[in-house]
Amino acid sequence: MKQVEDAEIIAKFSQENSRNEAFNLLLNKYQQKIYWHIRRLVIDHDDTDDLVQEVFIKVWKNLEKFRNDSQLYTWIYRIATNESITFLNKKKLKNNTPLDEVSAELAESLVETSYFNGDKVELKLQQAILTLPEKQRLVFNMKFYDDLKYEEISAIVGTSVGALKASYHIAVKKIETFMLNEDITF
Amino acid sequence: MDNHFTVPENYFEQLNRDIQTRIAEERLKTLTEGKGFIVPDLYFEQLSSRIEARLLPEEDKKAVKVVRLWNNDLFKYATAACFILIAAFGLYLNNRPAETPVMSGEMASEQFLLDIDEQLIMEEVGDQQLMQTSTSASEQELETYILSNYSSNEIASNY
Repeated sequence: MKQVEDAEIIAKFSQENSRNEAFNLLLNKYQQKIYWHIRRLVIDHDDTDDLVQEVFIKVWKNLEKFRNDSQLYTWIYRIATNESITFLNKKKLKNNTPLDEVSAELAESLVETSYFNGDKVELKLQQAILTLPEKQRLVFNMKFYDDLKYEEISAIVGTSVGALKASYHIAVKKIETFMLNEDITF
Repeated sequence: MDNHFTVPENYFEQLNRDIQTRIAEERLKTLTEGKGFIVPDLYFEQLSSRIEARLLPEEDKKAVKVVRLWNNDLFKYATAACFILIAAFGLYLNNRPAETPVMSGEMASEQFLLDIDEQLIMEEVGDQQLMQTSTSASEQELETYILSNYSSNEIASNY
């Protein structure tokens, strides 16, 4: 299915009679990208499912007010990122656990979940990613998996390109070290 | 030979770092396809319709027509008139001089008598009747006495 341009989606959404069609196009274009972006942050499928729905409901409610001063997909990514971080913070407060222990819990849930079927290397990589601080993890996922440009990540997380490059470099090095120390040979 | 081109500050240090990052990244990508996570069957096929279903109640809320009472001019003026009337009546009641209760003499004495011991009243009334009786009797006796003992000429000459 041919994907439509963001400008066309926004134009259709501004018309009352083509609003539903526009939103349907937007869902088809972005639902998987947003799902995976959130899934890599919160790990659990059911939590991700709830968050994805919340994100797109927010998009529906606010798309009319969306200004073209940023790109549509960076705007949606920003909503998704904020929702995910808010969710993780709530989880941390609810269980009264420090953030590093939340990461440990997430790493455990990787093994327990029925929706993870990666091999040993894949599992180790995810565990390595979960050892990163939240911001580095966010940057690593967006660069490594979503293949976003630093400028795009900068627009999403509000950090300078230089700081993002440094952050990504540190994240990659940490993961590399983790993989080597965990008997995974390159 | 002089090089007239310039590069950003710290460029070569950062270039070294960026190349190392790219190499490590490529090595990581050869290890994994990033496909460890899976989703339930037909999840993405159904996700759109599930999100749209959640949006329907929101749209229904918007569709409920709100009738604003204040949009009707007649209602506005009628409410304002009622308010002015109530306010004026309240002002009138507030500014009217306070009425002191006026009692008739009879009512006042009745009220007064309620506060006095009944025995005392009975004695007082008895004394008054006695005084009235004794006074009228002595006057009558006096008159009889005068008429029987004095002639009309004597009475006329003395007055």
